[in-house]
Amino acid sequence: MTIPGGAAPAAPALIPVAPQRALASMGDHLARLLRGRSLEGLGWVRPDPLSLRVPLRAYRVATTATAYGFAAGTGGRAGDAAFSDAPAGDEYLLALNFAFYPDSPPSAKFVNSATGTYAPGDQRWLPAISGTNEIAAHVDYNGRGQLICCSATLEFWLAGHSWEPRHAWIPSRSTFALTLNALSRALRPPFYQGRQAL
Amino acid sequence: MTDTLEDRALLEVHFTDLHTNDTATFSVPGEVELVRAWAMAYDELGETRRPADTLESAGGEDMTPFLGETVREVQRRHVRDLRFQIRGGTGGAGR
Repeated sequence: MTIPGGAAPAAPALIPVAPQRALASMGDHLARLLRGRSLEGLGWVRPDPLSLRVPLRAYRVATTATAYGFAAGTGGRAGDAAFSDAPAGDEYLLALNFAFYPDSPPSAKFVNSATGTYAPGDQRWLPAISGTNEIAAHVDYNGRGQLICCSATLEFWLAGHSWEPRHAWIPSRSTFALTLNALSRALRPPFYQGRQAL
Repeated sequence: MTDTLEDRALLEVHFTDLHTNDTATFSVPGEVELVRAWAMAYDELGETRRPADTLESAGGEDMTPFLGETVREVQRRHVRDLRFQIRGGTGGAGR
């Protein structure tokens, strides 16, 4: 087993990627994630080529179900619906953008399901997460708006947040599956605390 | 001591890399230690183990205490379906 000791991990470059390269990476990683499933079947929406809207479900009961509606690493078919084996929960909508991807993580924000945006007063559409040092969801981080405080989001790095080498984004390996899986862990007991506002 | 047929049977293991959701499925002799099967998974996935990587069951149970057990022991005592996931380093909220 090899544990490389090469160059120290670096922060992402935080420079937009050439759109064709971003598109190619997003497409490849999306196909590897969906493994035969379709966006339409899952209820995922691609409002523009470099953006994705992913319905997420947060659970108040113990479960191994993912927040994005199907088990990690399993195959499916076009038309398969999301959350077919999952318990009920609180529904959210995650907006991803891939303009800096794959050199940096995707932009990730919770948005109002009705408007597709996040505006003052939309705290209901932001989950409350506590008890983990992996993710926090801030309504307004230092006056810069919503922040999903996790190294698998672009905003974490844009905010200039402190970080550790073990949290580095690895462009040759990391994909947005890492972002979704990190959120999945946080949107279950004991970390998920309900909506930030009712 | 003579090996029984059960001792010699191959067991199918599944490792999902949560960086990508790519999965490696292969068979190993039951007496192989879990840490060795995990190393084989990196070869199958075309990846390299990073210092921040940890192994957990598909249900999220940390496998670190059981890495020295054989795959058969792990199946009997902890993870019947032998489905594991490789978790990478994400974080930052606690700083």
